[in-house]
Amino acid sequence: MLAAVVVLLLAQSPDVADAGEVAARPEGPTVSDGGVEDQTREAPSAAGTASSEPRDAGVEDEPDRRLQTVVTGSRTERKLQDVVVPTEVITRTQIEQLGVRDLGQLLQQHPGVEMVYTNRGVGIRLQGLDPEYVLVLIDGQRIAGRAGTITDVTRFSLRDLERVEIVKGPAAALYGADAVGGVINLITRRPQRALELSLRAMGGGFQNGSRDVPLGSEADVRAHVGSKLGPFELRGGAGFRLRSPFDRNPDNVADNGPGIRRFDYDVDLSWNPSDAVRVWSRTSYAWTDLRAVDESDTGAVFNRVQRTENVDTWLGTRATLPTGTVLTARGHFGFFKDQFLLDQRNSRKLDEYTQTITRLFEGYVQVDHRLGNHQLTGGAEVLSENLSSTRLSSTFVQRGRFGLFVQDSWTTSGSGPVKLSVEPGFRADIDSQFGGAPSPRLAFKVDAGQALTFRASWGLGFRPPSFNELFLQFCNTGIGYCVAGNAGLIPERSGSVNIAVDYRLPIEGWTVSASAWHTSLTNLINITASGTPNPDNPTIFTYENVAGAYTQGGEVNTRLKLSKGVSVDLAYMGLDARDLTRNRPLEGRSNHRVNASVNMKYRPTGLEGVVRGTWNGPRSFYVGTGLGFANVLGFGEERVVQAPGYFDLEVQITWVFKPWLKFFLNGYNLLNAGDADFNPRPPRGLLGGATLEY
Amino acid sequence: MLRALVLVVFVGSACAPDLRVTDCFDGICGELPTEPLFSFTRSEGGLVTALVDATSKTLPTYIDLDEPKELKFDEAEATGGWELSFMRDKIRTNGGGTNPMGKVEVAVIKADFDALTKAPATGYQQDGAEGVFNTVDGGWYFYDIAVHRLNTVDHLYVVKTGQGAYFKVRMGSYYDENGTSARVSLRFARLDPP
Repeated sequence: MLAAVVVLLLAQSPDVADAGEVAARPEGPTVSDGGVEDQTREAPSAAGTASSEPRDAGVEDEPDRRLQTVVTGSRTERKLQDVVVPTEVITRTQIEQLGVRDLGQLLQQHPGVEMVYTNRGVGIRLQGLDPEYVLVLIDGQRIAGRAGTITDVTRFSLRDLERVEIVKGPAAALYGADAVGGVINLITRRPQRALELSLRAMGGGFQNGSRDVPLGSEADVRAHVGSKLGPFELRGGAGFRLRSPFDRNPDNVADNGPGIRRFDYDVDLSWNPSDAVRVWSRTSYAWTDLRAVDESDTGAVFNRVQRTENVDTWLGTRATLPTGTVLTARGHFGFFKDQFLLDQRNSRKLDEYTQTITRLFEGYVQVDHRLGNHQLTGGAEVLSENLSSTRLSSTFVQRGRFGLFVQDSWTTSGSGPVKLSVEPGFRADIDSQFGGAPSPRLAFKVDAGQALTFRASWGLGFRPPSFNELFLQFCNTGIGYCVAGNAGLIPERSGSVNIAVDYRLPIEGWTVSASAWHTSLTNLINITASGTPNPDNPTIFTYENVAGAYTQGGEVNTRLKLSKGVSVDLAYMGLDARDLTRNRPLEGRSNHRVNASVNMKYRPTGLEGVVRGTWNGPRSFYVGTGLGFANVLGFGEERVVQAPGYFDLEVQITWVFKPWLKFFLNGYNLLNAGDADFNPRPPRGLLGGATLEY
Repeated sequence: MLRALVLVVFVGSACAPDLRVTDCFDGICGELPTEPLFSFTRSEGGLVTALVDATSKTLPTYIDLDEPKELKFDEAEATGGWELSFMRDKIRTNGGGTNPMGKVEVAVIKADFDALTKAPATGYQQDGAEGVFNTVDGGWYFYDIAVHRLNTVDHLYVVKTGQGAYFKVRMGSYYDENGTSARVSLRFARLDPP
């Protein structure tokens, strides 16, 4: 297969004169949630005219963002300017310009997105809501495998992504469970030519706790091949990543971030016998090893290894009927295997091994039909999830859920300057464990001329208790605590209101957006300590529906295009997140967050640069009986620790040597923000590499 | 090629090896030799420095101070030839409490371990519902709840065996050198009778 690729590559290699046009050619359609072809790149845009630029136009202009097709907010394709629910997009062009290695690094400095660093991965917090309230999708579809309550976003390479869509706020009316704080939807690429090929390799190092500690190192290699031959499309990719663990405190042997070894690949196949019919399949696999050293208060030292495997396979079809009705059906099987090994050094006493396997079966149908000014979307989703684990009270547990959803997107046909769009939606889920869960949403949009757009939405959502929260039963002998699940838990409920205003200044490329939200949570599942501490089992933790909380805040975003090659993005997020049960701020959140990003392109030399900086204000942590046991009800005294604010600075410089060859240098966390206890983020590091694209 | 592709996609998935094979505990794969529940070194002058494995939550570890040696449960039950038993942080003596047939008594005193050569004449008592080691003068440790760590206190225990011998006992750490809890270290030595 590789030989065939090389032969094709040589046979079709463009000469130098063609190269600029190849690089500037608009990219093709993408697979959307509904499997409908994305027409974005066919719309007139800056990218579409880039082929008329000089030959060194490997540095592309960004297309008009308002014409970008998005799908997440409505489960149907819309232009960004038409969506009723605010949607943020990170395009392929931006991904390439940032040169980041994974989704975690990409979103790290995105306005309104916070990263949550844990031993078992990096999660995303949206609108002040923790990772368990954020749904991460691939092409609108769920994926198997949360480590604890976190979907580790560093497991998603960006190799095969066309764009990332972010919808902040409630989306349960379309997506059901967990979509309380928002949805991150990863939209994959589709090949457009007989042969597409890309290869990216990078390597570098990072600083550890002090100058006396050796530098850490990392390397990342990714390859991507695509082909479109007649009605067939084939796309495949593979990647390999290595990173050594990092240690912010050289005074002990413990690491603060695990070493990573990851191998992944994915294969997409599709058949398009006509414009009206499409059949596709996609399979992805990732094997990740995380290794670190832990140290307990008693002095026990552990080698910790977590090995996860993710396999997701989708099969889907889409057909457009002569009436214009679009039918989509797909099935999904997800497999997630999580092995966890704790090896106490020089002793077997505290050694531990657990294995958890999650299987997810999903069936989905969707019908889209336009009726006058109404775009109707309806569908059904059936989901079955089972889990076997040595950590559960019962080694095998299973549950199922059936959901029906319907949405009407109605746009007034008035000819005046004011245009109104209303989008009511409703979803009903029936869960085999806790019964029904209604999730309505009402959203509307008002366009007041070309310059001003106002959006608002209200919605309910829910998060069912996880398997861990229901059935977990294990003791961590190393640290000395036990956790017991509670099978009597009921879902957490949420109610949210979001409003947003977009104002396009009368200067080309200048926009200002402002938004505000309020989300209240009830039946919040909280960890509660039960029993009196003793030396054998210092604390027994269990889960209860006892807490209430809210998050509210606002964001202001501005984008200023200063010249043809320079643009500036500025953003501010103010957050008020409160635990109503204990009447105090929710832990670990900054009240204030400021983002700034400067993008520069200098065409004559082919140089591009991005400087991104984020200031996060101080954060409150509650340290209970033993660091890390904070936020536990009914147990002992706590003290408040105010973790200082920090500034995250990142610089990316790219040199477009040839339209098909780029070199880049990425310096991340340049001010070395972070600490061992409250901000265990990777320390200051430098990456360099090259991208080859055909 | 298609077959190969299918093979890679479906067969090649979810095939990562078991961590217990690739990351064997302490680098030793398979069954490991069982560690003894009791080990000791004897210094000049008869001082014994011992390590007791009290990690089991169901079976005590019985110690005969005279030999010294560990007695298995059946042997301990049959002979009654033990003085102290250890189960996690609980230390019982072979006398009083659940062992009414035993004759072991304990005195808790404040004294320098090395300086004490002669057993006190009075102050001996037997276990009640709880052991003397765990109750008298606050017990043999205090528990630092802030860090979940057990710290021994400066008590000196004089153990009178069923045969009338006397031993001074000073508790060491609840944790062994690897940080494992309930791997209890102690020092003891024979005393002259009062």
